Amino acid sequence: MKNLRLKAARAGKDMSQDDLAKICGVSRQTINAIEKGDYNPTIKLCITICKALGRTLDELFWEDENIEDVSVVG
Amino acid sequence: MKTNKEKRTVIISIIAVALTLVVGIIGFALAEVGIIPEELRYKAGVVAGVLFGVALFFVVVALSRKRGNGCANEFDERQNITKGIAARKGFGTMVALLFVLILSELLEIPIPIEKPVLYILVFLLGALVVVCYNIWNDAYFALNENKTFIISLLVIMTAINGVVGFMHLIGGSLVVDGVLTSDSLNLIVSVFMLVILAVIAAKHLRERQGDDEE
Repeated sequence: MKNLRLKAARAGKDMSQDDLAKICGVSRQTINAIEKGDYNPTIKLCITICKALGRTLDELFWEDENIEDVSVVG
Repeated sequence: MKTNKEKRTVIISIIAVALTLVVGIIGFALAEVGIIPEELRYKAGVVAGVLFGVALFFVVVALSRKRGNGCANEFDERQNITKGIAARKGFGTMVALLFVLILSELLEIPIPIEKPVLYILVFLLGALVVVCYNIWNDAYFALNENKTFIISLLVIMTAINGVVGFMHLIGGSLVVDGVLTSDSLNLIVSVFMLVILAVIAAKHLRERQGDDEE
């Protein structure tokens, strides 16, 4: 599943994938893979990304609660 | 500026190459004087060549790193996972090829390739799978590696092996009595390196077309 919130947060900070990758000490392709949902980062990298973008883990990586709520109600 | 650790690695590597050269020259001199028996000369030459190759490899690795980024090659977590998968695929390829070779031996099916060449070919094919998989999944070049230097080196190695292989081809030593000899190795390595360069180029083109960056 694509991580559009990460992409939006990065764009909000006016950062390219390369900029964020350099701050986090990973390759640009790794950031790209996370945004595309092709790679699940470790908690360590998640925290580094959150710190770089000034967001919390919940904001960037927690799954959408609404979707869970719908499944529970349904 | 290179860090002290980097400088130390480069210096140690260069000393290793120099030492290997000195050992080689002493060995050559001993052989000329007649101290090394005739039948051991070839083996000693092979050992000296391998040692020189290993020492040279470390020099290249030390020089290929970007400045000020420490000594060890730095790969991120995704790259390390990818490298593990690539190694598994390469190992699988080698096991499968060895199985085919063993089967051909058991069934007495002749393969018109010299035994050492055959085993080197198995090793090279396994390595090719690893390298190509890594390149395609962006795990070949380390974060602190100088891409241009490595690619230039690959081009030079391809050209050198290609020229030597072509000379063997013209000399007619590639196939003797219908069997592919060890003289074919340069040409084989050259072709393998061409494949690697082609994969690097294809990956580069794919990235430029914007498939990767959204």
